[in-house]
Amino acid sequence: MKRVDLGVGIFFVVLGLFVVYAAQDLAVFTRNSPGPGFLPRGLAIIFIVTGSVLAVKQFVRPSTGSAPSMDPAGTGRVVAIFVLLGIVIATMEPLGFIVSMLILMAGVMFGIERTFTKTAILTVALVPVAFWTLFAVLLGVRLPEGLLYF
Amino acid sequence: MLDSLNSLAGGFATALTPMNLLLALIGVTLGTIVGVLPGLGPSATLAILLPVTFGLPPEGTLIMMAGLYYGAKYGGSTTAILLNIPGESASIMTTIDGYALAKQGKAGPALGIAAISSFVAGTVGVIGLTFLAPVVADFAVSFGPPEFFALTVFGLTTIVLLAGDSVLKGILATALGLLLATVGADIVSGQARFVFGQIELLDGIDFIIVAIGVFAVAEVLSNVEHQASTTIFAVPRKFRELMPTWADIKYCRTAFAQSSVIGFFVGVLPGAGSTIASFISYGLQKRISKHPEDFGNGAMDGVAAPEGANNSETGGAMVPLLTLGIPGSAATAVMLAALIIYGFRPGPQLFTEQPDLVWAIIASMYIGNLMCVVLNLPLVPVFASILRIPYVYLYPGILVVCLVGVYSLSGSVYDLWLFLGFALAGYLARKVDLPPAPLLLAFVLGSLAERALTQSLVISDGDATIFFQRPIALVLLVLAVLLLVSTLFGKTDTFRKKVLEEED
Repeated sequence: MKRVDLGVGIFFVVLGLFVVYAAQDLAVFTRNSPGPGFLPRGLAIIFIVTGSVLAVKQFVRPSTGSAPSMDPAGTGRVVAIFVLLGIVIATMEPLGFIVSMLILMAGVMFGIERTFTKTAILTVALVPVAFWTLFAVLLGVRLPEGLLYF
Repeated sequence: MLDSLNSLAGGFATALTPMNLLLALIGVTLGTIVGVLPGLGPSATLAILLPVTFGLPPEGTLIMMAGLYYGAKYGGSTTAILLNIPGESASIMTTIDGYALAKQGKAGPALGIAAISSFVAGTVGVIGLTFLAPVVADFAVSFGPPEFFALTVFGLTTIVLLAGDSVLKGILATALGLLLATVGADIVSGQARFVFGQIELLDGIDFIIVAIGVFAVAEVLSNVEHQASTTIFAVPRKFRELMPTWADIKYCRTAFAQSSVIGFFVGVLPGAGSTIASFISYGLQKRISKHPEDFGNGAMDGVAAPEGANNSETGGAMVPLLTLGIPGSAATAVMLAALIIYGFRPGPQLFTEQPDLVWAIIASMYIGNLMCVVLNLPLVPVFASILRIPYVYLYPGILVVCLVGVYSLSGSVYDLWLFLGFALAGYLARKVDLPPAPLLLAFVLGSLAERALTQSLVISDGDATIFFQRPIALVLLVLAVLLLVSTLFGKTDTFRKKVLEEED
């Protein structure tokens, strides 16, 4: 936990410095009230001070608790889901809602979870259609239609 | 008081006609569905419904709208408890203990307590509207930007209560939430802040994107990482274990009581909203609870308090709308539009010029509240049983719902990419024990606080003592300081005791 919190502290110190840099063109005060740069600068100070305290604390009185678990298989599944979500988001408008959700469901069931049961196949096929019916048809929510108009 | 009772009786006579009862039922049903589904807020649904209601009589329209407003409050707790998705900002506090209870196999009791608390506090809120409307209307008018700023500061200090073991990380999470709230065009100067050339960010970041990414998807990823391929929630088989017990209800009685009062009075303040009401109530309940150590880990009263305040707030929010013509929220703004379209003049004279309409709306809120609990309580075992579905089949559906919820905001793929970024951030935050609740709460309150601060200093021509010259603002600021000091001192004292125990 010590190394993780040290990293977190350093991250926020760097974030605070970045905020100071990004907000340099924003006025801190106007004639009689705080300007657009007032709150960001204040927050930057909080990031730098609190982040520094958290980082330094690891050498004086380290945080207790265990370090985050890093199971390669589990991390692999998480990365795969992120990649899959990225693909689905990129293809959602060109391909439409139902097709892109089919890709998502199939990718999860068959690619990540490697589940090839009848229930899995039915779930892959029916969930996108069911949600399309509920949201687009019954509730009138606008969903991307894509090349196939659904 | 007798006059109010007579008028209320007349209102019931109007509200209890078959047509108006049907419209109330349609409203609460639609509202419950809207509340359950993230991304679909009651205000957007009301705006969509408005043209559809032109063929209806005015009292019928407003009865249906009030029912929808109410129903959405009930529905919001369902996804918050079952899926860790706060459908609206007021449900954030419910997710904290509600989802923890669901993981312990107590989703049913949690949903039941949420429904009961919503009913009790919602009824108290409408009673407050019935008898106290003219009195509290004056209170609402006396609340200006300095009072609002002090209220938001008080709200932000209650966030410290959610910091868990690491106050430093809680402060960092809160500050990060405040920073995210600054993204977009500054409301006073119009200058763009932290948009980095992205015009899509000029309007700021929508709450739903952050909430769904940081809460819901991060939770899904965390469960997937730990190989949750079987059912991760232990859902009881017996029906009676799917409902709250009398002991649960009795345990939550202080939560019912205080949330009713807090929700109503905060709801009266235009713009304060149910978010502030829910976490002031949560914070207070944590202070007075017999088992404050359970908060954050599955406290039943940690669900009852915010849900009660959330629903009692609807009664309070109707006060400025009906008595002053001031909408307290986006949803009541649509109702105000409906009143104007029908040719009514919202304001103090509405009670005298259109008593039949006003008292019919108030009476329908009693009926709508009852309909909501009658509709929702029997559905508790049904909703809780959703968690019996093996997680491998459940979580892809959750991801689909999240994508729909985000896309429905403005039909923008950019929002989806932003959501993915927040999902990654939320997942990493969990890995390093950075609490997400303070981040989200600060994100909601940040823009309110900054706007109120700027307005206050413009009014006072830069004189900061305005906050100490206004009694309500001063009291709230003092309470905030006391709360912060007592909480930090309490944590320091606990830490010191732990160190002393270790040395022994």
